Amino acid sequence: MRFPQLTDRDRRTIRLASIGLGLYLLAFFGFKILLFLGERRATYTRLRQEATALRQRFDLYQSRAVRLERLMVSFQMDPARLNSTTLVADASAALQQTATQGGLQVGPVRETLSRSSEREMGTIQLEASGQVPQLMTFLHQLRGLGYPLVIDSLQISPEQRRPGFLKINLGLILLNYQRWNEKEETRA
Amino acid sequence: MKTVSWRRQKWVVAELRANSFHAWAEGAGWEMPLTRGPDGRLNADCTEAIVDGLRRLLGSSSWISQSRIICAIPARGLILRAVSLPPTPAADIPRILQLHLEAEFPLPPESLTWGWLPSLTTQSMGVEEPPPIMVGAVRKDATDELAAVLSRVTSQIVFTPGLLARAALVPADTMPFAVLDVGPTHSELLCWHPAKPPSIRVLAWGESSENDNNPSLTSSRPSPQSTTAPAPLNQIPDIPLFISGPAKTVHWAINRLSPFRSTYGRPVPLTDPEEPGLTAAMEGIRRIQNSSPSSGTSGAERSTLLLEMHREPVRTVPVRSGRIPQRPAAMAAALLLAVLLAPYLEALLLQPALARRLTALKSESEQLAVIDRELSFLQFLEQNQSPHVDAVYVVANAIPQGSRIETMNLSRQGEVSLTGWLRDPSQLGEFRLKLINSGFFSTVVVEDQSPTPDRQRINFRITARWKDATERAALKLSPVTPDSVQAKSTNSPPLSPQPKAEVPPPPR
Repeated sequence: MRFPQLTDRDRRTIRLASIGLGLYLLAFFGFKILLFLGERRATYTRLRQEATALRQRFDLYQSRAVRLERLMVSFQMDPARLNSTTLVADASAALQQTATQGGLQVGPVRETLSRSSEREMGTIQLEASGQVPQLMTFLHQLRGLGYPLVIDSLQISPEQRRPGFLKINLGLILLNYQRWNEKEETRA
Repeated sequence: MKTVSWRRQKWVVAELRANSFHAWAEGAGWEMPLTRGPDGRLNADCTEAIVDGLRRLLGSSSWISQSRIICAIPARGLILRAVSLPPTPAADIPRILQLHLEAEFPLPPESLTWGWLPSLTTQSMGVEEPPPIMVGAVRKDATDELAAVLSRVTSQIVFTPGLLARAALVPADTMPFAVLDVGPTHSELLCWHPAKPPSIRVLAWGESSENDNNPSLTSSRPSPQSTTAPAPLNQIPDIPLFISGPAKTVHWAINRLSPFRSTYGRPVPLTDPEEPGLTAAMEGIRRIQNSSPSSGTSGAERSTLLLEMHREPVRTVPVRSGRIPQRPAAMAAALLLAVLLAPYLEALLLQPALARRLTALKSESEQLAVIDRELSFLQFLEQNQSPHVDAVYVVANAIPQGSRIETMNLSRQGEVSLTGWLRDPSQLGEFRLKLINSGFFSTVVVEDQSPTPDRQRINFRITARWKDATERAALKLSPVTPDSVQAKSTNSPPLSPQPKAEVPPPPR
């Protein structure tokens, strides 16, 4: 295929047309590329801000994690691993076992499941008798029993039939972690 | 197919001979006789004719087109030197050659039109040494007149010795060889031996001069009486000889020289092409340019014979004052561009990795909610641990001797109820005062105090309320706990409030 011979005028026209076309393409695609780069830059900046906020949040949770670990060690308990199905039974068994091993005589034990409050899973009423040191030891060990127990009421009275012995009537509340709302306000 | 270059360079090949000027460009050639004034310089009409002829050859060039003139010049006054340099970066060669020029040539480089070739096609002088560099120079005065004429047409002017350009037409496998360019009064002789730099001589022998001296030689056939060669021709070595020039002159010279050639016989004609305006030197330049249009230093084996001599000396250092150096300016521009583009390149390159990492972190951040929930739960449990043992401890410390507490009720809300008996009413006040002074209770109320019928004892019922946890935290209560008893016995502080071993482990 042979092309016709181009004159100087043709060449100049083609050259100028090429320049014009090149400038148009440069402006058109340059604008597009600038828009694209600007958009990517904005997205990247937003991601960096999110990452910075996330890093600050993680830094904040470092101290929270330390406090949580101390509390878990103090209570000998990991709330996430509590089995809600057998929690009341397990807690009652642990209470009786601890009292028995501490030299207390365990009396009637009553368990009730809470139906109204989401915070409480149930209550345990426990009667036991023993000497003062044994009772104090038992009360002290309730904290590290491994169950979310809160002493609701405590009644100490003398054992009528055995002088030197005391009888306690202990009302315990078992907290329900499964239905715990973290936004709930704590109170002293 | 002919391509249309967007910014094409048009080049003109020209040659200045003793009595004529030749030019050729893109198939069109043109030549004109030279007319000189009494001082030997080209007269005004002649220069105008040259400029007009060149402009016609170049045509109507637009502002974006470039034209370049490569002009072959006579070898009169040309000095060739082979310079051996130590291994040097190519960028430093011009600067070092400039120093050599001052030592090798009688004039300073500023007064010379000079050029160089990267390497000779001949063998290297030494085994380990790099090949020598051929440097050629003529006085600037010899090219200034022609350069002034040509600069009216274009600013890109390159001079080259015409004799070296003619050597480009010699077959590549011929070595050694000599090229004789026969002129009217003088001839130029190029001798090229392997392992030697080429040498150029100007012989006082030409067609017109010999015919003037010996009119019998005007015919093309040699005279049988002339058995010895003219003196200048004795300088021609007995190697393959190529005769260059117009066809008629070449034919005459061959006939004239053939009787004196013994070993290599008749000289070989190197006539000018038949195209109008084109000479053998211009054809040699054209051949070299076509083999390597950009540099003229590759392609054909003879291509390096083209010795370009720029009119201006090569200036590498120092930089001209008032002119921005190109390399630092380019580096600064590149640096500025890099600075401007760096944020965008960073976004382009790092965004995918950052997005992946952020997604992973967000999935891990769900664990934070678990921490919040567990912490809230345990804090609630901690804050609702009633101080029953502390209350018992405070009451036990406050009760007077000989008294008795019958019942003690404690509630989670902080209410403490005590019932018992004392020996006299003053003990009741003392007991109440001790409870208040302990700082543990906020209120202490004696709800009932009544003496027994025999007046020996006083029965009482006291209700109290302990303070908030924050207020109690300042108190230094030290109830006797099993841990403190054990710590005192071992004389070491308790490590932790861990229960004893018999406590069942927390559920897992």
